[in-house]
Amino acid sequence: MRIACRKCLCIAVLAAVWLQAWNGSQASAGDKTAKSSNRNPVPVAAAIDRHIEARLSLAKVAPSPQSDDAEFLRRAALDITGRIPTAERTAAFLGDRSPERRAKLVDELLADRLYGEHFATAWYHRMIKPDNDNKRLILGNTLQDWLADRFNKNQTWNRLVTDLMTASGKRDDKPETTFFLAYVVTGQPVPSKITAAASRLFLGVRLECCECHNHPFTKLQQTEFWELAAFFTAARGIDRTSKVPRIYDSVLPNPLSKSGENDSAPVGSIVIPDSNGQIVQAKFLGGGEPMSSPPEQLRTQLAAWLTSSSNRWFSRAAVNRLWANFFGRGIVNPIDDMRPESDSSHPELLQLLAEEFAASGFDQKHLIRCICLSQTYQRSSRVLPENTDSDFLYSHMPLKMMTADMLFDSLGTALDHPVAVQVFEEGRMKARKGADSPQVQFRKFFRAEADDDAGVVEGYTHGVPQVLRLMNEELVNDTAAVVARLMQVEGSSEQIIEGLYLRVLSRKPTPAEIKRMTAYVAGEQHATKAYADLMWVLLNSGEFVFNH
Amino acid sequence: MTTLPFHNQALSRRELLLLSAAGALSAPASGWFGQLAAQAAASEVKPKSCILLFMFGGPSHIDTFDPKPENPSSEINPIATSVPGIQFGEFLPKLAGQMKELAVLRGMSTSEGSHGRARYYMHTGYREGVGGVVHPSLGALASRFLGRPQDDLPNFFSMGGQSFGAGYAGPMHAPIEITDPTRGVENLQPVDDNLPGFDKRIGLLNELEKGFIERVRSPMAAAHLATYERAARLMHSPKAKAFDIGQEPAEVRDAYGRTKFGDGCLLARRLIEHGVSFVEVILGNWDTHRDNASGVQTLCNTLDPAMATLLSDLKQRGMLDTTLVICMGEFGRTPYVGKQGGRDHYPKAWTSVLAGGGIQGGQVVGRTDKKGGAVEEGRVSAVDFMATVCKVLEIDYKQELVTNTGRPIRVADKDEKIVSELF
Repeated sequence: MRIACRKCLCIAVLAAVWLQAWNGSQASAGDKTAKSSNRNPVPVAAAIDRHIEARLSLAKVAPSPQSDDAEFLRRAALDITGRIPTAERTAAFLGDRSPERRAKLVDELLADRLYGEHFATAWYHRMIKPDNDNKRLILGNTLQDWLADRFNKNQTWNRLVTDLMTASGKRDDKPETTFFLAYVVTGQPVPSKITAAASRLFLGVRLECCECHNHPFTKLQQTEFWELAAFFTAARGIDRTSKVPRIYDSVLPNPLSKSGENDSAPVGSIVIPDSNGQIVQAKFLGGGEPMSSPPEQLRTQLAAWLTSSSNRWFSRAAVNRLWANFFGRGIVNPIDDMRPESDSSHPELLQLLAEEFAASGFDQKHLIRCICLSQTYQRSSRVLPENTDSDFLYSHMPLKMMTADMLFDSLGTALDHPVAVQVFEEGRMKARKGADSPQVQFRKFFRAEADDDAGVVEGYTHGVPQVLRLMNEELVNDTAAVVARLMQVEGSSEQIIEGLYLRVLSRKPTPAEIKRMTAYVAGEQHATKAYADLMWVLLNSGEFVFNH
Repeated sequence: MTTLPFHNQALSRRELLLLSAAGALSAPASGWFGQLAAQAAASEVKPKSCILLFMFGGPSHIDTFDPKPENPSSEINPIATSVPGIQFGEFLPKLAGQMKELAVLRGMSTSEGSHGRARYYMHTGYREGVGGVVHPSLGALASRFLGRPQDDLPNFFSMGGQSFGAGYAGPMHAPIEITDPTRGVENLQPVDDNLPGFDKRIGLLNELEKGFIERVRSPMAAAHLATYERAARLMHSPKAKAFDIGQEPAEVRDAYGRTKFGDGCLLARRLIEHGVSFVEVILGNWDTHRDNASGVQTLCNTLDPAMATLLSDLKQRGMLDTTLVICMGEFGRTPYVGKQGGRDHYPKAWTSVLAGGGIQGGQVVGRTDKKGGAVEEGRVSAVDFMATVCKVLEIDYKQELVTNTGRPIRVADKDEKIVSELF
């Protein structure tokens, strides 16, 4: 049963937001895809710091000092490539004394294939929610590899989103069609589902969360939502005969749709549910009409409007999500519900970064450089007594929970685990073929709802079962190979302990730690067992499990 | 009266967790576990407990606990129960035989018709998203108010799927999910089966954590340590054998039906017996938009022996009076057949069933019309239900919990109407 009132009002709120955002500006015919920019990130990083420091000094909160190199390396590797650095990269970076080493590191990490893999993993799970309707159509898709490839080539964000919104062809030739295939009923794309997903993902506004009875909205605004949904009415899913998953556009009425939407209206228009059959035509929010209206062009025209640099919600949403990747929270929260009344900590900064993103032609690597070169990002996570409670002012780097995928890959990196190596060599999609691969199982067990939803996890997400698995499962206790190798190569117990710290925590142990660990090893009968114990301890420590 | 949750007393949550961490850290590993054992010994009378059998997807009330032979869409016949004048659907014969223990609330009338929101509503008594807070679920409230700090076992388990979390009651009261009741909680033994060796390692880990917590002073880091403490404590607990349903005689396993749900009910009984406050056992697939009649029959074949045996088992052990058993879904289903040939979501009128916990059994409360489509008498809202269940469990439902932002929110929302027939 549909609760019509709630749904309609939610949609009305969205429409109101868009109307406000659009602010009367006209849809352009489509921006030319900008080439990767050669813009200088340094002044932007400085501008970030100015905004953050202005608020800190206003609140009279002292910022923590800059992170040391090891702290920065581990954080940047996790945030950009989704896993801790290898022992080799750590050794190399800690030996580098050049003044530009941090900028160089960021460039190296962005050039690493794992950068694309990391962002593809996050975006794939945000976009594709398996359900009973799409299960068969998305099974075995390769969208994640497609995304990784695009991120690694630094395809601009507007181009990438346009490709998703206008995808057509057989799924196995065009992985990007998976996005539409994920929002189907009986194999046919459902306009309102796609409108809702696209708005959550690409405009940063959510339909489901509004509070019904506080916002009296007019009929007109509901109409606007459905006018937008009407752009998707030509999109078709699987062929009735061949059952091959594909997306195409057709002017013919939708024969298979049981979704209750658009059963009777011609393509390019849609029946508003629970409205006594009112039909509306495709129209951009704010009133702009499509330039011409061949039905096959509907999605193309909508994509041009959506990803246009004059649609400031498009760049704001992308910037806010990217910020959250690095700081654990958005500038506006919740990050997929950036309504005017949402909590926004630094609105001018969001504006500045959104403009920079648009001006760069939606160059994500550029935006990442801007963030990572800022002092704000490079601050230590070590708190000062006077800034303990001021996470949201960015006085120090807040702790971030690793996602299930990041934890799996980081464990694999520290342990040289065959599965992680396989992922490294062959790409994630190949390694996870088969529903029961260790990677898939791990994700299922450690995944936090919020990871795949808002993309921000606030608070500790592991419970007793997860912790038991980390402590007592083979995977985390499979330290023998690494320990044996270290013992073969390194000489003294001090060197072996240092090797373990570099490998697991990406830093050198302090003298006090060396002393304590040496004493532990001396107290054990078998050195191999003692070092295995140490590695177990380091892998189970908060310092390993958190991104800090 | 306002009751503050543990993290909102004079000390901030952060300070308290840091303190508790430091306390655990200051003792050597053996002393740490020794202390815990001593605490556990000082026990007292356990308050009431609760088992929630959650019918995930929303069962058709007119095909189960509120049969409507006069409704032409009804394909399932009514049968008599052990209480004259009260009838059930024909696929619940064993529960019909237990009617003397049951209170059947046929006037449930809630207002959330989408699965996720309705589940949240029925688990918390609050609508999802209201006020921007995450409300604690009934299980978390039971853990918070009925659990004792010295308990070895955590106080909130869920089986057969995902329950709802602790919200502002705090992460200590979040559910522990058991994925396979025949395996209990996984990874309870160290990989080398050497518990003293494990203690040495975790002692060293505790030392290391202290430095990290001081460095970042984050509640998340403190929660990491607290969770390791709980897990290690569970590994040491002699009560861990509560998870082994293999210790039950074959006849008992058979009586519960040897289904995943039946095994879950049996494990729930064992956990309650060992002092756990709240167990949720989920039975899925009630979302019968298609093939309603056959779906209901299959699911009843699972539910009926499991729940009936659970009740007789609790009674035989003298635990039924202190253990409330709830059987409900997130809503009912339409009193007519929908587009896809089955029944669709229907929160307007449906049925929940209570047993044990000291309530008056053998009765039906509330009445729907001839077709089962509207409540005529004894309407029970989600708020009424939450408050009533709390009252049965002797949780003061009018008291307030303080959220992380300092806002006091009642355990059950105001304007509640208690189902007085139960008392």
